[in-house]
Amino acid sequence: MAYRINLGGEGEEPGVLNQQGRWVVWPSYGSSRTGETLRQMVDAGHQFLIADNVNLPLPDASFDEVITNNIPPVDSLTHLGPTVQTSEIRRILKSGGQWVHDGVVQWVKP
Amino acid sequence: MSAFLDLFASRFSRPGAGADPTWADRQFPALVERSPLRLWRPGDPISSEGLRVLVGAATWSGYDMRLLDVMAEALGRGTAEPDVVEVFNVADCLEPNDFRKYIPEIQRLVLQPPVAGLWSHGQLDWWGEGFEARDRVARLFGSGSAEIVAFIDEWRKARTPA
Repeated sequence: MAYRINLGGEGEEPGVLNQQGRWVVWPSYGSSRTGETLRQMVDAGHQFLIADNVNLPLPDASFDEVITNNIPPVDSLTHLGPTVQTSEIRRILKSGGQWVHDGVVQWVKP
Repeated sequence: MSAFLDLFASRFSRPGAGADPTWADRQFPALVERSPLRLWRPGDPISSEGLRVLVGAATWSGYDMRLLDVMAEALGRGTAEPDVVEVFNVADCLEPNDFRKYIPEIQRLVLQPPVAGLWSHGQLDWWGEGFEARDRVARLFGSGSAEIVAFIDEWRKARTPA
């Protein structure tokens, strides 16, 4: 079984663990794709990990694929805080696992 | 017309992509200048005539860049509903309160782009963010959020390795 995670950004992926910042529990949050609330998305079967981008509570070498769609530039800052970190992507990928950014393979872990 | 989506895509395809995270944001003002859209900066006048829309978009969001293309296309065709169409880059909002320089009525943390406001004869009627803002604005230009999301999904699928 391949383990896949979608980090931050817009566009929840069905069948994939979707990581988002803690603001997804705020009442004003809605899915960028559909406008659904977090509750509605969970009820529809989406799985979420609510965690900051800097220290993902995930073991090393645990994912076969990391997906990032529509995210602010990695390793930078927005008004919401630090963006997705390449160091964390590299850490959680298994050897041979790949990072796919907006449909393009960015990196394959040796 | 796909100038804004091309900007989004070229963040990855041009040489040295990834090493310069602000490249797309630096291109944004000139790209707006070459489009039928108008860049609005804090301190610029707010039109007191008709319906004004102001959209804050993110160059890293394919949805936002497609929305701007939709807006530009409708303006080019003469089918846009608003009388005044202005945009800004949300990357210029480095602090949460910076959004108030564009829409003073924003009283909570903005979580998602786009951010949009609608003014009628100089008075703000509505503001919103994320899906709600994209859908409301897109409808003023003959589209909708579902069309924009589907467009980007297809675009991404065409790029994704099998």
